[in-house]
Amino acid sequence: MTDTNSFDQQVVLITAAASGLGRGIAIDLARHGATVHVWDRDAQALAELSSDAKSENLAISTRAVDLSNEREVEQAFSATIEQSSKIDVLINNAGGSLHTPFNFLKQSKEDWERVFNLNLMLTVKLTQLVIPLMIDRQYGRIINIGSKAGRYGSLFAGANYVAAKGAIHALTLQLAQEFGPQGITCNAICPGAVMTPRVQGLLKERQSDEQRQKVLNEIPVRRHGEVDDIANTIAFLASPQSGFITGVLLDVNGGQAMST
Amino acid sequence: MKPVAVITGAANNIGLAIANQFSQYYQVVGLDCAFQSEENSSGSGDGVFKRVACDITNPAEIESALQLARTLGPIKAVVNSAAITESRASIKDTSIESWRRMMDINLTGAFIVMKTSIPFLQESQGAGLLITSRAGKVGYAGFDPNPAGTKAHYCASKAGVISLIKSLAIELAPFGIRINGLAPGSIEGTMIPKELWAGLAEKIPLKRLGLPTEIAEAAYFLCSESASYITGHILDVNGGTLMG
Repeated sequence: MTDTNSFDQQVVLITAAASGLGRGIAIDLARHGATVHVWDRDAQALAELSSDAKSENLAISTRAVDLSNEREVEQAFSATIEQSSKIDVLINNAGGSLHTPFNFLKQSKEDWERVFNLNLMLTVKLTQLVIPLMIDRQYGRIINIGSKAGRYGSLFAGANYVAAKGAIHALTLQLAQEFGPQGITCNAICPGAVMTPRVQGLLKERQSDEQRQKVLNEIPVRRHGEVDDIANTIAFLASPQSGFITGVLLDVNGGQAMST
Repeated sequence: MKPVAVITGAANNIGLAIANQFSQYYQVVGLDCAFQSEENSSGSGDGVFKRVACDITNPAEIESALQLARTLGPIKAVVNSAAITESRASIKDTSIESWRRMMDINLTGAFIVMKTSIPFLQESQGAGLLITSRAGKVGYAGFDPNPAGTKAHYCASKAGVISLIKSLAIELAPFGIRINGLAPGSIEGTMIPKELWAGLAEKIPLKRLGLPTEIAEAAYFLCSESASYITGHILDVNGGTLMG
């Protein structure tokens, strides 16, 4: 049964986790006993995370990485492996719409490239680096952050973001199929809007009070998701206990949309 | 005091595994028509739970079993795992009696269990979980599309359960009750004849059947506070045989 010791001796790598959702996930897994490597470009937020982790005696190791730079990602990977020698759990958390326009007709080619590079190509690059290590040990948990938007579209994120998340979903299924025989599972969670400061800002900028209330009325449980809702779900999917679950896109959306 | 969980179909296979594992965290009341009478006894695993003879197609029996469970404390979780299957048969060889019995136990039984549980789960702000099946999502399409027979009645009953879950989730959310489903693929146990296991494992990306304990882990997660923002979801536990 899932308990606080279930990540003892386990090594987790998570991207873009100095703040927001990723930070919550990293802290939660460290509290469950994991050694967690956090990569992020925001050195100041990393320093704060590091000091918070130290005061709680959590095994969180931070590294400043420009995730848009392939060479830096490769170097960070080598350094991380030197430190921990294995990765049991990879959480591809980096993503976002990067303040590109919501309106499809106003999105430039560059808006698409930037969003696809961060949301999709970084996941491709990093997962290609990590999977050989997992194959060696015939064990691995890959967790991608999909989105309700990738299944059903979005009222506040644009087509580039939605399409990138859809691609993440498809990638998840393919990796599950391709690497299942090696004991590696690959799943994604599909959150609705999660109330991080970034999303709160986006909602405020792009929706009126009235629109926001209307959305809330369409969520059966009548609230938005919180960081803990997502972190708890990831802790389950990342655990050894979820070994027969693979290729799943798990909805964490308060019933807002129910997939088949 | 541990909260109370009621598990139907608790005499064997997935239901028994759930009852055994839930007994670490809940006071479990297991219901099954195979139980002889009310008794406390050891499960085959670690679990000790109260066993109550009960037919899920009988609303009065479900009501009194829930009342009995309530005397132990608030009922935080109700898991409907009771179901039957039959060996593979074509539709032309499926009798109306066989169809009705399948619907009566697998679908109407699920309706009776959940409907009767509503006031108990509202009181505890608890969660309901219904065991459905990969077969309820896609029948035999994709996995084993053999025209000689598809167990149409079983697949249709499990598809009905999936639809029931979504209605329950929407209707009960305002009362603070979450409802989810679990859709197992091929799981070791008596539901699948053992001589078929090796052949099935070959078709599964993880190259093995699932264990009843793996369904129990997922069931525990969905009923727990960790899943407090998940409702109306059907979680696949199938080793990658159906994805999405």
